[in-house]
Amino acid sequence: MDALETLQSLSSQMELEHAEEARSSPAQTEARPACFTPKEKRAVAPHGAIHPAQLPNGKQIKLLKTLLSSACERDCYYCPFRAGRDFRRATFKPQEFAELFIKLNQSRMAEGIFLSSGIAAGGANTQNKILDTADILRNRLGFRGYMHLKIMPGAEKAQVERLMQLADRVSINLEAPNTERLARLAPNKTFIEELFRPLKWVEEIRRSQPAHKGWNGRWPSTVTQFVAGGSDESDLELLTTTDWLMKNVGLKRAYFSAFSPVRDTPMENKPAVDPLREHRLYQASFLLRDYGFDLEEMPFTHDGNLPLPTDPKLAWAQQNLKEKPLEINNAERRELLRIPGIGPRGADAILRARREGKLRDLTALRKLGIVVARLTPFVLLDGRQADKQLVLF
Amino acid sequence: MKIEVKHEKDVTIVAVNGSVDALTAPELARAIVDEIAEGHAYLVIDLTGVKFMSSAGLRILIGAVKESRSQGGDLRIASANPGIDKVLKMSGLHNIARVFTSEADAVAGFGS
Repeated sequence: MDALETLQSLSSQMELEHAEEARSSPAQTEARPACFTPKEKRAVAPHGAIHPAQLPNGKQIKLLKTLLSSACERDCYYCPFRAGRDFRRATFKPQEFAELFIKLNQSRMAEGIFLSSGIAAGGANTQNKILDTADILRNRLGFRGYMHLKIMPGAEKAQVERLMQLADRVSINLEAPNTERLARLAPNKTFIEELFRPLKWVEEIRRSQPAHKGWNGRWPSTVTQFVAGGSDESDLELLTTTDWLMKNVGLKRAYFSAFSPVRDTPMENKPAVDPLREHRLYQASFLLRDYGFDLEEMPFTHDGNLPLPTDPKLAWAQQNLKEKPLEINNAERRELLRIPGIGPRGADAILRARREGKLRDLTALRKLGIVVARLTPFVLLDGRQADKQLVLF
Repeated sequence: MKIEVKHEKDVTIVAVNGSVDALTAPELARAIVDEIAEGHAYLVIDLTGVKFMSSAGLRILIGAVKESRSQGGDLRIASANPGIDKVLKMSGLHNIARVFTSEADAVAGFGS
């Protein structure tokens, strides 16, 4: 296998990792004169190793998502790389991968890295390989772009600290929301010691040490990922853990990857989870993070799940605002955020506009960039129900 | 729905009888919030006498677990009713709060 074939092999299942996922069309790889032939370019992009990605600051980049090695000693039931599964494994040496990435970067085919790995000879040993790679890229090859580096289960605190000095973002996949559920997915991973504790270390380091020690003068953000539906857990369990992590260890966000069975794994006959569930979990987690909602306000049904057919914010409004619509001209920001169709930007636009005068009709809201179709049953405009107003255009 | 509140050392027991649904859940919420506000953050919610619990009841328990923990305490559930036990398991609440088969075990659980 040459280096590009190795990369193709190692990045072939990375669509399961949702980090930095962008909703836009795949990144275009321009035909620039570079050290790769068109055939080589096709090998990595657009549907191969390089993915369109949105950074935390909103910038869109071409992100190389790959493993350093697909050799793994863990036998997680859901994972395509689990120990014993029959497929051709591949491994990069840190120097080899770093040099390949720099070539891709110089050819403008990849602008950032998401780097994970299968675990071989223990989590600490594997973490060292990721650290070595990042160290070569940052300190020997001068790469200053975006790096999202994985914390390996079993990593030590000093390794996590070093990782935080090199990365823009660090993450460890919890996979399941608690010990009981993880046992159904990954019999040889321990929830608290191997997965949860490193997230606490990251926050401890962020709080106890000055930010200038981090890459580019700031500490990296932290995210995690769950396999939604993989352990028959409820949305309540996933969101309870997500809410706690966001409030207590500074988790920036959780990614949810709807379970999809992988052939030749113990879970190959388990039905795939509806991707809509993934979407509802994202919506709910943003309500918890950005909209001031409490966990107990989520419209969980008796089985602890969110209703699939309805946006959770709309479901909440139908239960709570339909009989008591909110007056747009008096509502506080936290109340405006509870109205379907109004997000943080819309709420701020309304507050600004109210300083100029009363908002009397839907046209005034439209002018602020608010999509009014969803909010009309839940608001009053200058004392009148918005959905009773005559809509002329 | 009937609610009975008693205290055993540092543990507050909220025993519920009847149905916990959208109509009655606010009353249960008030009882729990009042106890936590008075500094009683170690709670046992005894659901042994509950015949039916809707999603509204589930949400009250979620909020109560969160609130008690945020005040440095914890919430345990006592449930000997198979129907309610099924709801607790199906919703995953049994992985969020510890569930015991009797009020006495739940109270004793705070010692472990």
